[in-house]
Amino acid sequence: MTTISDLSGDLVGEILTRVPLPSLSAVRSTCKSWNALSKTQIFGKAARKQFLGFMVMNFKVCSMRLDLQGYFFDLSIKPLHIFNQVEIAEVFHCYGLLLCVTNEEITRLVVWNPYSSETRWIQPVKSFCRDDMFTFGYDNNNRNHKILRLNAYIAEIYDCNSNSWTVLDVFPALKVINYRGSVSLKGNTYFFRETITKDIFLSYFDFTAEKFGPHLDLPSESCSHVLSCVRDEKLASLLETSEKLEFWITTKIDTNLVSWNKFLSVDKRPLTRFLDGFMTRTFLIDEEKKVVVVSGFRSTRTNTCPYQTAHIIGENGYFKCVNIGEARKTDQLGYYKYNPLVFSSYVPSLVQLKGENEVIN
Amino acid sequence: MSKSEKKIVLKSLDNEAFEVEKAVALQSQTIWVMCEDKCVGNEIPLENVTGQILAKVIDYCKKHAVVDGDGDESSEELKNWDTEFTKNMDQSTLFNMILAANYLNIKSLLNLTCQAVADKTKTIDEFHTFLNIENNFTPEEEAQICQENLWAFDD
Repeated sequence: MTTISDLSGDLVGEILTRVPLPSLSAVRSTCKSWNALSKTQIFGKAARKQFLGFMVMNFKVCSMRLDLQGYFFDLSIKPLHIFNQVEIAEVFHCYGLLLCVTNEEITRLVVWNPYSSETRWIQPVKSFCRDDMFTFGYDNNNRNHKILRLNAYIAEIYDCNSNSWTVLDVFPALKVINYRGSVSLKGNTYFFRETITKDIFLSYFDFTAEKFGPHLDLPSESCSHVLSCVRDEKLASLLETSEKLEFWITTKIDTNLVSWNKFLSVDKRPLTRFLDGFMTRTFLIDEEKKVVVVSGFRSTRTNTCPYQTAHIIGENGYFKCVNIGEARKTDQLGYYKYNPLVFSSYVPSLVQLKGENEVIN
Repeated sequence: MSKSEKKIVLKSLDNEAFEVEKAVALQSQTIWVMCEDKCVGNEIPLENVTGQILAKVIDYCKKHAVVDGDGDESSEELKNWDTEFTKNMDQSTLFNMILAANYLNIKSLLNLTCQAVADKTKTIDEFHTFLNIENNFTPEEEAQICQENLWAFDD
């Protein structure tokens, strides 16, 4: 009788890379040699039509799984007990690593690789402050992760490989706004910026050249937009007017130029019952099945706190509203904090974190 | 090419001989290299594969040799055939198929058989029983691994 022990390590690896990601725990706790093997190659792949991501809810990092098959929508959110219960305000994902910003009087930063269970606390030059804005990306030359820290007075970059901060040569005169979504795509981070006259435009930060990119075109300049991406390959924009929602996807992204193609248009008028008082925060596009999931917060006259809500939108007027739960939670200074669902698709990576090793538990 | 040149004889470990079309056998990169090198005659000895397994490998190659040239329509049918092909194989046969596909260097068959084993094992118990692997962790170590990988939704 032939058993798996008759197979070479390479062939065992061939089998285990095909086991779906939810079985990662089972594979690793099967035996010591498999656990060791899983640290040198990526085991487990996301099932098709499943989106695995990380988000913050009630100041806890949660992993989120969304099963989207046509209009079938199944969302699971699992709070994780990590970083010794330190409250987390924000989380950013980029190429297998997560950057978490703590919700403490003095902000701290921690980088986490869920696949390898490694964490590193990032030391500031002096200290971080509460109005710091962070974005996370990587250098396309060597895949080194980098953090951009930005506030009204300073713009500096942290290189996760050399563990050092460098002040940016040119201080960005224009404000970056992140409540309309920022998207990490191929190392760069795309977001909206605001001119002195309050005009909003699309731009990006290039983590390879360590500089801000130029003004990029949007499908329409006069409307309100929210930014997202399609499978870490394309940018997507939701354009909202009083009458319609339009979803656009990029057909081309260059350093100076993006071109857009309309993906789906929805007439808002029959949907006022659902869309009144709804504040769009993020969305996710399944390009193949022509389905969009829009998530945000919904306030009504009868409820005092907004609800975390998801709308599933499809072709020919398909529309479904899913209530996810109350979104109210105050931070340390007494401000309400609403963390939207995050639909980034996490892909495991073996990126190693430099510096002192610290295994989380 | 004469009729006899189109055929080739594959001989298993237990001396079972199979006469097959050359196009069928050449899906194996190993056999292809052997034929290219002209280091073998019309009969190819395969010292690592038993007759029982070789018969299944040939079934697979026949199906794929015939259908590959038939256009798009058949790809769905081929997929269903592949699923049926591995569905009722016991684990010992599956592992032998993996070893044979690896030795004969038939990429698509290696993919198919490795995927079949992966699909049959999802939970930790299945790994231990189906794959017959002994757990050499202490309960504390096992609990820690589960804790570290909670994010991956082990349900």
